[in-house]
Amino acid sequence: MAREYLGSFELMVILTLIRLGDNAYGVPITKEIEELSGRDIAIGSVYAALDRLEQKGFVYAELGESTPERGGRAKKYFRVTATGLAEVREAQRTLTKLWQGLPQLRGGKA
Amino acid sequence: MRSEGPPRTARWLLQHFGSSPSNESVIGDLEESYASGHSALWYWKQVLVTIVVAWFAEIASNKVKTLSILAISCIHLIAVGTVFRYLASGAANPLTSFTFTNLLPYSWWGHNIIFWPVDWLLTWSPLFLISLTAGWTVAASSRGRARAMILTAVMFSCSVLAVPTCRMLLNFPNVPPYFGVRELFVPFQTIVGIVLGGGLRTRPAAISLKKGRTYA
Repeated sequence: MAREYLGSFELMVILTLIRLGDNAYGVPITKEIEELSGRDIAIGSVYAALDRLEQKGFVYAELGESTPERGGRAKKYFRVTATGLAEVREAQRTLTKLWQGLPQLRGGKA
Repeated sequence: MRSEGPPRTARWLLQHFGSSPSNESVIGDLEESYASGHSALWYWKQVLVTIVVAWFAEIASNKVKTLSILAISCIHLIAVGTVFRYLASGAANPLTSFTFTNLLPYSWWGHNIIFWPVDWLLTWSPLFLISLTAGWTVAASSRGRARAMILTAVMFSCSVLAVPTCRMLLNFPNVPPYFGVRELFVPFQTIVGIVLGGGLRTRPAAISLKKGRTYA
């Protein structure tokens, strides 16, 4: 089977899942990414990334409680699998290597 | 927190055209966010983006299936065009002529109040039946991805029918209103037929996961 890689938005989503821990479902995931990136994010885009990550085996999902303000629909919590965590570490190593020794990125100015 | 629910039309669209495997959870998340103070415009934007993103994801991961749905849609549109040309070739379609000469008293032919509904019904119902069958076939041949594929058929048909519909609208003042309305109804019933035919085959979204961990 071909190795699965993380796309940049998928990496943002999976890092957010790690940050949120047990409270990682659609609403807080989207809020966290919006706050940290300063961009408007559509919940549908987050779910598309989560579905891809689930297909790749990097996250798994479980249904939680339903509340009246959700129209009785259950929350879908996402957790990172061991494979997902290993892939994040690999991405971190690769990106760190790529960032090192770039004079254009020194000093924090574009 | 507010008591009134989100825009009903937007929610209906998401329920029926949202093709994400997590569609029910997306709807729940959107309702929760809306209840916490987001605007109706925000809700609409989220719904449209969610439908489009999930649809593209399904198309991208099922290219062969998408091509087969486009082929079904082509056959469907050719059939609709051919049958409409046959039925609308004269002042009354051949089925109407047959009905008034064999089934109904011939003198009724001259009464517009009887003639028009019969003629319209006998022009539209075969076309509607064709579109209904096409929608059903699309849904039946795309198990598990019916919504995305019905949306594909609808979007394809809309794009193909856009040009003749615009032409009909521009030409509308030059033809008798009876023929104009009869022609304009064809694209409308084609799209409605696909959606309803697909809907007959598609069950309401089921939650794909039971409570508890499902994937390790």
